[in-house]
Amino acid sequence: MIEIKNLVKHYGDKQALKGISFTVKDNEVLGFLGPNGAGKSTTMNIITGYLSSTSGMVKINGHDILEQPDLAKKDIGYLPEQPPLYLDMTVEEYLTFMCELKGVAKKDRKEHIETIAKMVGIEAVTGRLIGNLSKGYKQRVGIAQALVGDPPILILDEPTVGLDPNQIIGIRKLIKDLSKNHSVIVSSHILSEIQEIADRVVIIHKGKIAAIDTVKDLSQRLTGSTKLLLSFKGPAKDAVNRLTMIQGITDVTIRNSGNLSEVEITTAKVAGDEIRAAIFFMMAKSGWPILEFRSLDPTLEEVFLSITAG
Amino acid sequence: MYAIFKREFLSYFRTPVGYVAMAIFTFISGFIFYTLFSRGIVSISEEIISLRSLFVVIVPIITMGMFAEDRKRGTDVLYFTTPGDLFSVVCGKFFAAIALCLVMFINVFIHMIVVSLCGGRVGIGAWGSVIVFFFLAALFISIGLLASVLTDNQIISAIVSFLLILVTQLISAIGAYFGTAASTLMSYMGMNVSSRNNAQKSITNAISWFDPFAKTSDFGDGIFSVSALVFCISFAIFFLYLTFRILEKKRWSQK
Amino acid sequence: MSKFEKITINNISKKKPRNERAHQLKIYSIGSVLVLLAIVLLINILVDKVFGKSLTFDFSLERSYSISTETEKFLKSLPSDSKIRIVGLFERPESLTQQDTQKYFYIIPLLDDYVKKSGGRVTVEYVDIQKKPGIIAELDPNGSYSLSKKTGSFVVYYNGRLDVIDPLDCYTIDAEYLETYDQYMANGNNAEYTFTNSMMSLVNGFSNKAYLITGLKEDTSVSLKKILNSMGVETAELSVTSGFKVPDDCDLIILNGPDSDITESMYVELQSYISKGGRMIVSVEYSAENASESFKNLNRLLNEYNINIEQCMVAENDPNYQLNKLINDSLADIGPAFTDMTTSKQFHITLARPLGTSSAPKAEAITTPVLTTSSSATKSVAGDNNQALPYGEDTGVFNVGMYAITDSEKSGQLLVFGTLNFTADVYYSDFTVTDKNADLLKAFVRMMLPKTASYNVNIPVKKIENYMLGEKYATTSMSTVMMVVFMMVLPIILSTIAVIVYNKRKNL
Repeated sequence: MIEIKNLVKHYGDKQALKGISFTVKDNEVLGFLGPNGAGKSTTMNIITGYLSSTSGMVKINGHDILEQPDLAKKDIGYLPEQPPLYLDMTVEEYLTFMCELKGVAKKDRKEHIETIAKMVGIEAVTGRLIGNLSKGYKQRVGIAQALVGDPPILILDEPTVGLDPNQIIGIRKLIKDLSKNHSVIVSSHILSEIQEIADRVVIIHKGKIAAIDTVKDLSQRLTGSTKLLLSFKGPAKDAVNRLTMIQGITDVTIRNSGNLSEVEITTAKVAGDEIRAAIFFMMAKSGWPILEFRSLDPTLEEVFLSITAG
Repeated sequence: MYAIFKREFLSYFRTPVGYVAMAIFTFISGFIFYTLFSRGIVSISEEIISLRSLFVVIVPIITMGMFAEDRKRGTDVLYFTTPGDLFSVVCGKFFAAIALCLVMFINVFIHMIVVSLCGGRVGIGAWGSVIVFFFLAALFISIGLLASVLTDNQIISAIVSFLLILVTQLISAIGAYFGTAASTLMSYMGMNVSSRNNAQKSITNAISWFDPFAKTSDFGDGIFSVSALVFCISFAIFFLYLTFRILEKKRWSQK
Repeated sequence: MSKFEKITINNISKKKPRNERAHQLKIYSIGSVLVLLAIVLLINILVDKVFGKSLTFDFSLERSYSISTETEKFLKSLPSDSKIRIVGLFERPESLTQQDTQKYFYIIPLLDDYVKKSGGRVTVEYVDIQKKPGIIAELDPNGSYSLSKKTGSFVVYYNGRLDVIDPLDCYTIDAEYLETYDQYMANGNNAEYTFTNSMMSLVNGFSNKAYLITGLKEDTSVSLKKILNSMGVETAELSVTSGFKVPDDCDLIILNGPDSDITESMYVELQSYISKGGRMIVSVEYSAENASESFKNLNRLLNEYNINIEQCMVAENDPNYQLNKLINDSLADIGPAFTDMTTSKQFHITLARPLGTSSAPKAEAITTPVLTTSSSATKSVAGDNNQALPYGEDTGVFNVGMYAITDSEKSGQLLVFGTLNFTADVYYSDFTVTDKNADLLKAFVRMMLPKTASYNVNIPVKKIENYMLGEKYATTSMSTVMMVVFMMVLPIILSTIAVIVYNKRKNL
C-alpha cells in the first residue's frame, strides 16, 4: 500500500507539484495519466526516492521514504521512463547485479532470474549483451529489473513503449496477473491501455490531481449519466415515443430520421443489462431491426481531453 | 557496496577503458624499467617514484565515467531507489578503481622478480614506494571521482580531474609563486624587508605543505612517516565524502 | 486594506518558497562538509607538527638518514645554547638523484636529522657563494681555509673554529671496482662519523698534538692531517732543520714516507723521545725514488725495537692476495694479535718493504706483527729498467707492519708500516679518508693515544644500498630483451586480449 500526502515539489520558482495526495491499495492497478509536464514522472521519482519532495509525505507499506528509506525501497520495483540499463553487460549479468543490489539471497538468484525472464519473455536473450538487443527486448529487460526481488509494489513508467502489439498484450496480461498480489502504478500515454488494465485512474494536470476514480465512474462523473446510440430501420418519432416509456430512460433525442434513423438515448444511471434488454425486445416487437447499438459514454480519451483542456 | 564494486571492476575489462589504462601503464613502466636496466643499476623505488607522474593521465581515464556515465545513461536511478546508502556506492566505485591500479601494478611486481633474478636488490625503499604509490592513488582517485560526479559529460570529467591532479602536483611551485607575489605586493605597500620575507616564507610554506609528493618522497629511501599517510587518507576520505554529498544533492536539486 | 496592499501581501507570500526541508538539508550538507574539512586539517596538523617527529620510522638499511644514539648523546651533552652552524657552500638541490647531486644523497637528509634532533643546537643552511660572497668572510675571516675554492663542500663552524668537509670524504670507495673499472663506486656511507667527529673536535678542541716531520723528501700529508684532526688530534709540522728537537707538547711524532734517511742528531732526539714514553709512527715504501736508500739511521732507531726496514720489496705471489695480478699491489692480513682492532681482516698494500727483525733489540721491546703477507711471498728488487728482479731465496710470510712497545715504566710505542697506503695522500685521494686502511690507522692512533677515546665517537660505516645487477645480466643484449618484453610484448599481449575480449562480448 502506498500513501501519498500533499506532495509539493518546487524547481526554483516553478512549482512542479502543488499538493498531490492519493493512496494505492493493495493488489490494485492504479493508472497514472496526464499531459506531458504535468508531474507524472516527478511524482513517480519522488515515490521511489530518486527525487525528494519539497514537502509532503510518502509512505510505502507504512515506511516513510525519508525516515526509513531502506525498508521502503526494498518493497519497490521501479521502471523509469528511460530504463536504467548497462549496455556493456549481458542480460544475465545485469539481472544478477540487480539481485545483488536488492539483496536477493545468492542461492536463489539463478532460479529467480529464470522465473522473471520467463515472465517478461526474455528467456531467449539472457546471454546477449544488452547493447545488442532491440528496443522491445531492452524495454522488457527494464521491466524485468523492476521485478527483481519480487517487491510488493511496482511502479512502471510507460512499460509498453517500443513493444509490438503481441508483446504489449503479453505485458498487459503480466501486469494484470501481478496485480493479484502486488500494488502497481502504471503511467501511460496509451489511454486505451489504461482503460483496460487499471482499476483506478489518477489524472494529473498542472501539478495537481484533476481526477481520481475508476474508469467507469470517471466517465459517469463527466456526464452524470449514460448515453446510448441506436441506429435502426424504422420511423424515428414512433421509436422515440416507445423508448421514452421504458423505465430508466430519461430522454431520447432524434439524430437522424428517415430510412435510417438514429436516436440518442439518455439513461438516468448506468445503462445495465436490463435497460438494454428492454430496448432490444421493444424494437424487436415493433419490427424495427437494430443496425447499431452502442454506448456513447465518453471514452477515457474524451474524459481526459475535457479535464485537461483548461 | 560489494555489488557496485564488482560491477565497476568487471566493467573495466568489458570495455576498452581498463585495457587502455593498463596498456599505457605497462608501456611506460616498461620504458622506465628498461632505461634503468640498461644502466645496470635498477632501483625499483626510483622506478615507482617516476611512475607517480602517470597519475595525472591514468586517473582521469579510469574515473571519468564512474559517475558521469551513470548520469547520462540514467542508471544512477538504481543507486537512489535500491536499499543501501549512497556513501557505499561512492566507496564501491572507489575500491574498484584502486583494484584496477593493483592489477596494473602487477607490472612492477614482475619487474621486481626480474631484478631479483638478475642479481639486483629490491630494498626496503621499494616497498616504501609501493605503499606510498597506493596511498597517493587513493588520494588522486578520490579527486577523480569528485570530478566525475560534477558533470554528466565524460570528457569534461576527464579534463577537470586532469587539471585538479595537475594542480596538486604543482602545489609547491604554486606556493612559491604566491609567496613571491605576496612579497612584491607588500613591497608596493611599503613594508620592510624582514616582514616581507617572513610573509613570503610563511605563505610559500603554508601552500607547499599540501604537496603530497614532497611529503611522500622519503619513502623511497626507507623512511616511513606516518603523517604523510595520514594526509593522503584523510583527504581521500574528505573528497569521497564531498562526492557523496554532491551525489545526494542531486536528489534534492531545485532545478 | 487597499487593493494595492492586498496584492503586495499576496505577492510576498507567494515569493517565499516553502522548501524548508531542502534548505535545512543544504545547511546540514555544507556544514558537515566544512566540519569534516576542519577535522581533516586539524588531524593533519596534529600528526605532522606535534607527533611528526616521533611518528617517522627510518627502516632504511642501517638507518642511513638518521643519526645514531651516540651522536644524539653527544648533542644532548652540549649546553642548550650551543650553536653549531653547518653551512653548505652551495644552493640546496631540489633533487638528490641527479648526476651531480647524488653525492649529497646521504648527507643532506642526515644533516636535516641532526637539526631535528639537536634541540636547536645544530643549524644547517645552504649558501651560494656567488650570490652571497660575504659568507666567506663571516666564517673564515683570516682566509686560512680558502673557502672560495670549496664550493660544494660543507663548513662546520663553532665559536670561531671551523672544519671543511668535502662530500666525498663521507663515502668509502669500493676498491675492487676502482681497480677494475677505474671508476668510483661508493659502497659505504660515513657521513655521520665525519660530521659528528668534526663537531666533537670543534667543540672540545684538540686533545692531543701530533707533529709530522718534514724535509725528508716525503710527500704531502693532507689526508693524514684530516684523519688526525677528525680524531681531535691537532697537527703541526716539524721540519728537519738543524737543531731538531721534539717539542714538549708532542704526543705523537710521525714520519710519513721519507725518501731519504734521518740524520744522526734526529736519531738521538727521537730515541730519547720514545724511551721517555713517546709515540712514533713511521711509514716507508719501496719506490724508484728510495730504492737505493737503506735508511741506516732510521734503522738504528727501529732496531732497538726489533724492527728493520729492508732494502727490497715484497713480491706477493699468491693470486688470492694479488690485486689485478700484480706482485706489488696486494692484500695483507692483519696480524693475529690485532684481529679485534677493526672489522676488516685484510688491507691494501702497495710497493711494500718487508720489515725484518734486528739482531740486537732492546730487552724490554715487545714487537708484534701488524700486517703479514701470504705464505707465498718472496722478495724482489728493482732492476735497471725498473723491472722486478727476484731477490734472495726466501719464500714465506713477511711482515709489512710492526708494532713495538717497551715493557718499562715509561712505555714508548712505535708503529711501523712498510707501505704508504695507510698514511699517504696518494692513496687517500683515490680511496678517501674513510677507507678501511684509515680505520686501521685510526684504531692504532686511538690505542696509542688513549686520551682521544673520550673525544672520538666511533660510528661504523653504513652500507649503501647497492642496486647493481649481477654482472652476467648487466649486458646490452639483456637490456634489449627487457625492452622488447616490457615495452612491446606485454602491451601487445594486453591489447590483443582487449581486442579479443571486446569482440567476443560485442557479439554476445
